[in-house]
Amino acid sequence: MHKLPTLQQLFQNHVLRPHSGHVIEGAVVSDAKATAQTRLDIYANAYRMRLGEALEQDFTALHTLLGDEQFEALCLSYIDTHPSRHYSLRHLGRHMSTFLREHDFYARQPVLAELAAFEWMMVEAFDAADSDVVTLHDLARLPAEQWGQLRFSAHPSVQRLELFWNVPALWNTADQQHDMPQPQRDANALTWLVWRRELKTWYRSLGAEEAWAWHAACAGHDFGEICSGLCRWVDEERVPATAAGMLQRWINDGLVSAIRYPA
Amino acid sequence: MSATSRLRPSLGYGLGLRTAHYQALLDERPKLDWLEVLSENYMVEGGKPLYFLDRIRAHYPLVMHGVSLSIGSSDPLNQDYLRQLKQLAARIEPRWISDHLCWTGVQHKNMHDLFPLPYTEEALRHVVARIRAVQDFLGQRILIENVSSYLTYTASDMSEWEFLRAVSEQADCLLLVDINNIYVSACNHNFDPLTYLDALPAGRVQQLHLAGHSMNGAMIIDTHDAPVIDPVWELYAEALRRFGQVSTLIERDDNIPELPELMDELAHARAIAESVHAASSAATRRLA
Repeated sequence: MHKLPTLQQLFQNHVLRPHSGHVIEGAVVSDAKATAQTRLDIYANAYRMRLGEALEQDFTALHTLLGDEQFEALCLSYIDTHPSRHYSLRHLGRHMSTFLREHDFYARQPVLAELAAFEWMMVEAFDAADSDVVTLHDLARLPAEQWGQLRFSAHPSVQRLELFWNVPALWNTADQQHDMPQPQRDANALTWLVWRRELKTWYRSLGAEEAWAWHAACAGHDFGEICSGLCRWVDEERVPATAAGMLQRWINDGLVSAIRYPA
Repeated sequence: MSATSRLRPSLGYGLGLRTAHYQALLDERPKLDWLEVLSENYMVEGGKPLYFLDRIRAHYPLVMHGVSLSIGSSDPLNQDYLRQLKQLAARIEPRWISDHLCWTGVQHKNMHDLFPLPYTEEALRHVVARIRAVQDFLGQRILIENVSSYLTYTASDMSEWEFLRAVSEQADCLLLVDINNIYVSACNHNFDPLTYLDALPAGRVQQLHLAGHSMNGAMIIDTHDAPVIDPVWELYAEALRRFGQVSTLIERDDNIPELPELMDELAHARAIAESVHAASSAATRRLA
């Protein structure tokens, strides 16, 4: 007779790999209603169905792009490589983009990894920590002489990613049940932000100069340093207005949760 | 502590809180006595789930119901999970906290299912020690729920009801008796559900669950995707005859209808309870 740890290990092995010949049937009662195999298969089948449904919920556009059959095959392969190690199914899909990028077969369609990364950021933004956001009124109250030394904190939900493919367009049509456009790749990657404002998730692209400025702000550079850096893209006399315009937009978008300056 | 003083007074008739009903609950404030929240859905940092939970909590008593405690697993208790659970409890102050008599995975994997335990002395000692540890950590008794099961182990040397009774008495925990799960398991394993009910300690039954299920060949699967069926209502009445007025909740996790449909089911539960209570009072008067 198996001790509890051994029995549970055998049972779990069967659920994870029902056809690999693990010896568990003898530990389960067969009767007139159903054999041990039939009874074990209920758990094994339910496992795949349940985890597949969780992935389907988080990767709607990936599902649409691949179609039912291929998406199901992807889920089985993914679950096999990355079984859940968290107490909540909410985290199941966290390795999907990396899995697609590193998998011999799926890596041949690089749009898949980018789409999965984008969809996962939506999941992360959905229940990221809450935080106050800075308003234009807050900004107006800051002493003018301090502007050069202002530093910024991003809202906890804000995430940034670089995309070569028309991923947001693919995602948008999948979400709205429209025909999905063909995946298209640009020569250069575009920077995108995904974040939550109040209860709604937003995304938008950033031009090269704004992408640099946002990255610099998140890295802790002050407003003066950001202005200096923008000279790479903008004439010096237009820098203050350009930088102020960017900051205003970040604040209007709800991307900034705090502004700090030396006391 | 006496058997009866362990139990909180009945909260009445409640529903499982589901996202589909968030807005209707806040807008319409239906006459529900209480709500049960799935703990793991709110063990997050922020956003919509906690936003609605905080607001709904202002209008309805809540209890917390978990699926990942994995009280029967041979893995160590997940301390991170327990901390998060306690943190959520501190935030929403539930009337009580429940989870299942099951295990959900070993070797730090989570299968996200409620796997049955072998009903052995070894498993009993293991589960009792862990429930005691969890109760010590949370600073309160927890409720343990019987699960639906599709298999039994050859190693089991006692029945599920004997095991559950022993667990509750030795761990000094309370019980969440799922009437549908008893019905499902009784069909899948050919036992008499009344034998099960008869064996449970009435002084520890804090809550009842009701739900629907579906057929899969000769087996019944606990899918929570359909209305409660008549044989389960009959078993509910039998439970009330044994346990008295107990907080009752209808669970629906799939094919979730609008609130009025679930309210109708709750009204049916209330009518059964009132009828059982009236019959019981009449019998008591006759005896007097």
